[in-house]
Amino acid sequence: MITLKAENIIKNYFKKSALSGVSIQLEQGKIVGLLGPNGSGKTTFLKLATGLVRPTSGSITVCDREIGYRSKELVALLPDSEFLYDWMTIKEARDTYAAFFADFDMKRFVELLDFMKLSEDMKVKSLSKGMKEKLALALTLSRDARLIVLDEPLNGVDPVAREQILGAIVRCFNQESTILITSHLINEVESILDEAYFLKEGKIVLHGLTDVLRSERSKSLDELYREVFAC
Amino acid sequence: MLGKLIAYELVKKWKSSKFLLLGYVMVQAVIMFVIRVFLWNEEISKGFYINGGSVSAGNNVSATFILLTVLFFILAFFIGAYPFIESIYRYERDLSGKQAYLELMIPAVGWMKVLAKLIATVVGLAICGTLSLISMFLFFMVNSNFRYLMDLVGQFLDLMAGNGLEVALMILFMLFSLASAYMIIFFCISVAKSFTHKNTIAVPIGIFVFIIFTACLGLVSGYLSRFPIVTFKIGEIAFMLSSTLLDIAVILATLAGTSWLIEKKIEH
Repeated sequence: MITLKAENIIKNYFKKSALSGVSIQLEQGKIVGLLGPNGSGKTTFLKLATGLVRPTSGSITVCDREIGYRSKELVALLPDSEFLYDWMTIKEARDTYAAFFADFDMKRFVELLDFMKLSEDMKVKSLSKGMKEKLALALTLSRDARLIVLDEPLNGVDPVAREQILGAIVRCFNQESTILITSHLINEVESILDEAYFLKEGKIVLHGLTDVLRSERSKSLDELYREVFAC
Repeated sequence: MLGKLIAYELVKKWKSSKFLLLGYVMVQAVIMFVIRVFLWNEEISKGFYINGGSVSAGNNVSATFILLTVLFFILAFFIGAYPFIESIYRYERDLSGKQAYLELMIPAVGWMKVLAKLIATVVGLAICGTLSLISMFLFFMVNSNFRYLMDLVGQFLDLMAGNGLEVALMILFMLFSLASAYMIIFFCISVAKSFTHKNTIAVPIGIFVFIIFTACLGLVSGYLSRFPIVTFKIGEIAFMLSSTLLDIAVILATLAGTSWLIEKKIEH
């Protein structure tokens, strides 16, 4: 089953082109990487998929629903920046999610918090960047969403926290959903990706199942990334 | 969903304002205490007497007393006006601040989100306005002829009880007018935000749209005053049906417009 279908997406910001003719199709039960350097259009695509921005042309559907407030019921987003209010405690953040998202799984959230070594009485304001990232991820992954969108979940966190975050992603992934993840840290995410799209200057320049890409080119995803983006 | 959104908006307002409100209550209480205990004298008491009192020029009224009294009333005015500024700031932040991700990802139709913000704003204004009035009233209660003021309050409450329907309609009309004014402001901010999130550009656009909108509204209102359809009175105030219908149309149109802008135009 197709979770996300984006066809010939063009996104311009005034005269600047962010995406030009991007077509992406995500299947249920896969963890898919959207890889590319800064400014390649990754975050723009994620925002299009979540309905935070609208395409200049082209169409996107999530489980055959046009992007809009109804599709937001199916999509869980982890943005690349802090989005919780400083006055919130973790419990209040949990209650906010539980109130607005019918698919929020309270039990899973408690398990994830435990896994991330966070407690519900902590205040968002008192959390370090890594802890905030883990909390945001716990909230996002506690939803039984059909499409889970993770924008740079490993950004700015230490190696131990990265391991915990990747562990949580694998732990919570179920075959009913699809995870779309962006990251610069290809080495770190490579092991969990089933499929990858390489995005360069707003265009898909390489796409395939990660196993196939690796075996066809006899290179790791990280090496391929360096080759494609000529690091 | 609307109930949850309203509760969420009210919690947000309370969490962001509670220290300010508690601080306000404490500072005002301290000012009243200092005035009453340390700066009080009979001359001042007469000055605050309602129904015929006056202060003899320059007699025993300290500069500290005047300063504290001015401070008290400035703070009371500030707390009454605070929700006006806070609501505009909060609405702008909800659309383009870092928490906008959370706000905009809530799977609710646009008009519900806007209506929840509007209701929370009116509630906030009513609470802060009441707090401001109560504190000013308390100031006079403490510093004036208490019994006379209590009599006045009694008479006022009797009057209210005797005209319950009219009073309720007047309060509803006031709240409706406030909601209408805020809805126009929300609409103008949304129009500006649908162009850009850069405040250096968005703020002038918002102000420009507000001026044009209110000017057009003024023109239409003026024109409609020639065609009242039916004139009716609530209390001592006369209303025209045509103007009332225009007010309702404005609030509905701005609500629909703002909802459409949030769903179709504003990006984050």
